[in-house]
Amino acid sequence: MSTFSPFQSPDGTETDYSRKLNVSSTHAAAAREKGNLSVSRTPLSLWALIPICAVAVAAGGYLAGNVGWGPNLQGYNAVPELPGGEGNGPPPLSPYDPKVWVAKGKAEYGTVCISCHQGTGEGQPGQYPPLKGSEWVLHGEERLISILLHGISGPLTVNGKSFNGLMPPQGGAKNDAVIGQIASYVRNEWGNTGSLIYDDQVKVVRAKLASRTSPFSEAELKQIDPEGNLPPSKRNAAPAEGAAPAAGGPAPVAAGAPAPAAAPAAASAPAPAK
Amino acid sequence: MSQDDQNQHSPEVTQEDILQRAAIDKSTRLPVLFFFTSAAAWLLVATLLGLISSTKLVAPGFLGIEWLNYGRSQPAFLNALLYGWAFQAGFGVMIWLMARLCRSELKNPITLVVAGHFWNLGVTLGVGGILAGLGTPMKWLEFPSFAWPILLISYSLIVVWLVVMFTARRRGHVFISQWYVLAACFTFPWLYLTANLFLNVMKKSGVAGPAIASWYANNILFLWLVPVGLASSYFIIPKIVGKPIHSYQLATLAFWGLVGLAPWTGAQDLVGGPIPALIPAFAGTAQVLLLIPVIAVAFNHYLTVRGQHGLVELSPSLRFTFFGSIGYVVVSVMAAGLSFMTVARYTAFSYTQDAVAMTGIYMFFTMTMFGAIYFIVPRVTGCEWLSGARIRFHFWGSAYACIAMCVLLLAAGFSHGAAIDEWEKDLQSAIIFSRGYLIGRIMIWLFLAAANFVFLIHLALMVMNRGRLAGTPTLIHQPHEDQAEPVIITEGIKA
Repeated sequence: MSTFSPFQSPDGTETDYSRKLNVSSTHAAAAREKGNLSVSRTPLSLWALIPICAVAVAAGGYLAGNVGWGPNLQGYNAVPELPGGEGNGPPPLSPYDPKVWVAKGKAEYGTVCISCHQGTGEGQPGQYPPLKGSEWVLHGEERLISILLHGISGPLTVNGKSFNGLMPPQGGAKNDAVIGQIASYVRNEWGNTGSLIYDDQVKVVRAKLASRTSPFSEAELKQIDPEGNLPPSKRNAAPAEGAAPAAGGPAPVAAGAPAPAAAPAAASAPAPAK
Repeated sequence: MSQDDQNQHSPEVTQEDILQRAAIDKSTRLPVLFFFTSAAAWLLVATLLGLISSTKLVAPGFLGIEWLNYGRSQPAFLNALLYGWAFQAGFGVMIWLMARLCRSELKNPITLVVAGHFWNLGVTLGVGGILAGLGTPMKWLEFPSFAWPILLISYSLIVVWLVVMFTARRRGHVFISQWYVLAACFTFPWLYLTANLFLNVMKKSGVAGPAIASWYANNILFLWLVPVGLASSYFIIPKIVGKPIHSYQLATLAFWGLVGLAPWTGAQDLVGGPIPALIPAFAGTAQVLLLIPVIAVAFNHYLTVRGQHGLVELSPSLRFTFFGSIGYVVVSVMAAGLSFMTVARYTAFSYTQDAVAMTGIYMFFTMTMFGAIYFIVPRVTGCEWLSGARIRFHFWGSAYACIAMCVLLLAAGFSHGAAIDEWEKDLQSAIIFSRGYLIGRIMIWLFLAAANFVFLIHLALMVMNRGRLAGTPTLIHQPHEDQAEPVIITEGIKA
């Protein structure tokens, strides 16, 4: 057996590097151990009782705080009220929130309008006129609503191209809110930007045209003021300030109502739907 | 038990005692070294997985393999650490302690090694299954459902011999450590079978599932890791200090307090959740009351070591064990504090759960096991650790990492929990909010990897019989001239 070991301790202070096995070294660890283990019977220290009692009191407090002493043992934890109102989630969005209003318009657009005007808003060349960039869509709130309510018949020039067809009236099938949502959507999609139109504004137009039974012709439409906006809606007062951070989607311009007048109304407006 | 205790007061060590100890150590050599080495190998795997998973949370594209996604590498890491490293290190310590304290040589080392191979098979299948995407979502039970029978059977095969050894012990030898080892023998099969029957066999989990899983995870910590860790520290501390355990009363209080209260705990993780308030409230109360055994153990250990604190400086076993005992206090205080509703409101489902897991498994259990390994391995190999400097590096690397991990994950948990609490923010932004802490965690894992690597090399050399044969213990520091006296008293050859 070699007496040299390459496995020296870096400490280098040990004296015996022999790798020779011998009884005293293999038993060395056992031999140097302390005596047999024992437990002394020292009485419980009073100092130990202080923290133990403190823990017991804390645990009692915990139990009382979480269960209480009442009959509510089968109940559930009362969750502390978090900011944000009912439930702990965000407060429900108003249906008149611009994002919500336009999103509903998109859904309604998808049910009927999309079949002719297409998802791109470009219509079908020669058959159905485009909505994208169309002056009929972008100018004159009253005129657009009139078209939606009663339709168009006969030749029509849109974006410099002429079309000749029939747009069926929608006023019978769709209520004021849906008409307003669709109008708001087409005014704020495909690069269009325009004001939102709400149901109370549609109601005004519907009342005005109550006696009408046939679709409009181009000539009749031209009699309606191309820049004629409807009286400001009461609906958009609340979301007017919330409209600004609606990033990502279309950035709708709030309808008519001047912002300063809207602000106090916003503060007092009750949330419309719960 | 009383007669047993009275017979223990025989501190004189005879030549016969020494030969008997040596014979017992020799008989346990094969299984103990088997479990220590395979545990250490799993520690390496767990360290790498921990490093990967904590990196993944900061840089999701890192090592862009599906198998290592955070959702897989994180449970794989935790289960490898728990079942691969912690359990197997625990097996080694349990076997050795039981043999030594029953004063009987181990009769069936081969059976234990065979069962150990099956355990390793189960862990390998489990960890591999998690990485392959077959894992379950239940806390600390993420192994795919085919792994649990293997683990349960091999565990039973291992501990049945410890129970047999205990029943056949020489009359008059029941020491505190044996209470805990015996308790640990029975708690794991109970916990594991119950949890798996409910979660993997009946599968009627619903809301009950997370409650059962929380109960299981908390009890693996307090009814398995804690008993095994305490068995080790109740042995190491008086052995090295050379004094009897301070108080039998405190030890009894601590043992029965733990065994009686811990099974109630666990569901406080779900405080405020959709389960009847009664369940988390009782669980939280029990978790707070569990501080009583902690106080008893802390007093007992402190009063036993009192007057000999210099030894913590010198003895690797005592230093690691002492640090682990502090970890026991820390993890218990954390678990109790985090179960208060006012706190849990912010911390539930945040990194504080990782903080409790890492403090329990690493700061307490792993450090205690290191202490035991530094004590046991020289005895079963017959050679001494090569270098005090390596042990010192291992200790400081691990200790700094444990403390930093505990503090960092707690802070991360509070910021994470507060961010989750804000309903305007999505979960991703909550994670990004705690990003600074998560980067810190990667640094800690690098520390731990370095420390564990040194430990593994050191252990491997010992197992290959490349240790020193000097016959003097390897201490963390070579004592100064004026300190030479107490060292000789501590660990000098008596025979």
